[in-house]
Amino acid sequence: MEIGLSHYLILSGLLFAIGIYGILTRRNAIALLMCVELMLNAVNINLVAINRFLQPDWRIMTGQIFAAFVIVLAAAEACVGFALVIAIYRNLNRINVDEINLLKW
Amino acid sequence: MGEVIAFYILALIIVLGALAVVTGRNLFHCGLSLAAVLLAVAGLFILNGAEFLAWVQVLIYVGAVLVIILYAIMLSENITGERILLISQNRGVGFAAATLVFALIAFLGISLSGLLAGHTSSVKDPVLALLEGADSNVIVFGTLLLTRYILPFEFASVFLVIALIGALVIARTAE
Amino acid sequence: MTLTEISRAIARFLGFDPPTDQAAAQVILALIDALLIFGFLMLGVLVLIYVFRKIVGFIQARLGPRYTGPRGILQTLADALKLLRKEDIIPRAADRIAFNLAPLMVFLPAYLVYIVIPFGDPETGLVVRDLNVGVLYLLSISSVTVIGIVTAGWASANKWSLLGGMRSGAQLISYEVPMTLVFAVPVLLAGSLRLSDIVRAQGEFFWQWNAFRLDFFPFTLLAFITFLICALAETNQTPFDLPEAESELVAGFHVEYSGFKFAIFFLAEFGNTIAISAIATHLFLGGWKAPFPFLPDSGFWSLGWFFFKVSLLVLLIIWIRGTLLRVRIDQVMELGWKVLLPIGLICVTGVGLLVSIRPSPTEQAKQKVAVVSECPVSLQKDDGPFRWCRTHGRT
Repeated sequence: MEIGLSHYLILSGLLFAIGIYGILTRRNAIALLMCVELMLNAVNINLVAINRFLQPDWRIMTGQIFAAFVIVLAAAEACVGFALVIAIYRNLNRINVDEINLLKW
Repeated sequence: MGEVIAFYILALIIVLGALAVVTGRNLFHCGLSLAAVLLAVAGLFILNGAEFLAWVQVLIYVGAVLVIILYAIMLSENITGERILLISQNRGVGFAAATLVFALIAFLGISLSGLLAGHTSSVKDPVLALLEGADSNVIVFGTLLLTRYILPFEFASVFLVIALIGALVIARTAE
Repeated sequence: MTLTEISRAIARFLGFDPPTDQAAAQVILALIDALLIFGFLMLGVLVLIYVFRKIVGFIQARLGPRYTGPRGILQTLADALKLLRKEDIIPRAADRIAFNLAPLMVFLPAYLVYIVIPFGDPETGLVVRDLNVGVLYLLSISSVTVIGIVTAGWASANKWSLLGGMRSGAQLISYEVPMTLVFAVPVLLAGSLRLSDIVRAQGEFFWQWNAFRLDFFPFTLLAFITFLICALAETNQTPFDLPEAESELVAGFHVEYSGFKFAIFFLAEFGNTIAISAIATHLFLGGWKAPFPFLPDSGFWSLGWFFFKVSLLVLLIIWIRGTLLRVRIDQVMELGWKVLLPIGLICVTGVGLLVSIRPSPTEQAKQKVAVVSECPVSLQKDDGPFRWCRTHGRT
């Protein structure tokens, strides 16, 4: 038995689907952002695995470099996202996204 | 054999941890489960020969992003022990959508990986000339990053500065 | 005898002779390695705590431990046994899972750090795994500590522990940034992330070590001093022991911990002190090398030199701890972000510029440039902005 590309693809698909489930069911803004991190990680697993299995020369690591940029993006997203959450919490004293409905008045 | 065992252990940690993140009721425990998932993903990177990326993942995700998350949790729970119980809603819709997405990805993944297995690019990449004699993951990574991917690299640094300033402006208390 | 050979000898003593190629044998050898490192950590911390108490006693004109064993040598052991026998109290409001997990999350990084640190010349085998991402590994593993500390502070459900945890987290994160920057200085000079390569890239005489070398004069020395200050902050030593400032926070993030778990926090803190001194030794003080080339530093001599230097640094840290006052929290943040971070940036920029302009002494870099000049012109063109200075400086 051997681990092939499809194993990694299914694992990352599972992780991505779990992230989607979390995004759709959670109301807490912090939990939502955590689910986004899960989905980004699923993407990274995919990138690295595809780079390994479909690129015969290990020195061309385009997928890994792309994954590194995704990590950078995730760091920036987390920092701005949590700044927003803190600002909203400070001003409205609410953390659940469906209760932040000032514009609906 | 070793790879198979390692893969299944890591996959188990990832799936169970992710499920704990999306279904747990205690936000702080969700954060800790997320840490387990991130570390296991780093393990998968090592399994795929991406050592540098794996430790970058630990450094940035676990060392920085997760700490931000924990701080956000502590700040949003009014510092003192007012615990927020997480409520999930629309579970049916969420489950259906997740199943659909998973089915789609799994179908595409299986069919494509079968299709692509034999198909590998035969064009000799010109960047290989730069990587002559490079024997470690780190050297190759750095060389590629500073030659072919120099533009995205520089853009990423600008992007990070923008995000940093943006976050500071947003989170600052009004004078 | 190398570490691997020692492991094999122990395995043989236990009654089986492991062949090298089998996966199971590898796992067993790795386990023995892990046990050896664990034993080293325990022993090192026991000795360190005794020395620490004696020296701080001397500084404060006290005697220090005296009664248990000859000259109080067994005092630490007695304290450790006392801690292990204490009742393990978990507050009722505490988050039990996180509360029990936190000491582990603090201890594991302090333990795992030792995997890549060579205890002497790696050719003698005095290192567990000489990873090619060594420095990055050290940084990323030690950054996991923050999570453990924040968790400990949060899970205790106590104001002081929460404040201590948040302070500690803020302090660790802030000082990680300049520390990462000055880690880059030896890496730039050696052109490798492997700790043994960094040591080998430093010269034979002590004025050729990274901390004292004259060809990069102000930058490397500044980097070394910055590293030492960051090391004090990262290991919660005075003047930066705010997370456990007794007068304000009782004991910081581990107020509620007692017995075994408290002992683990203590162990991790002192283990970190040894580890960070070892890292400073390798990155800036020539690792296992003797200060002069005519002194022996091969084989087991390298072990001796390494521990000599580590002990000097640890003594320096104890001296600082016994001498200086604690600073205020805003002063800590100010020092980290407004002083050390710019200094770190200046060091990295300066060393980077000098390295890219000056011809590098290593053969590897020369080969690389030769390869570049042979490859097609179209590649040379989009070759990154720094290549120009490098080739220009060389010709």
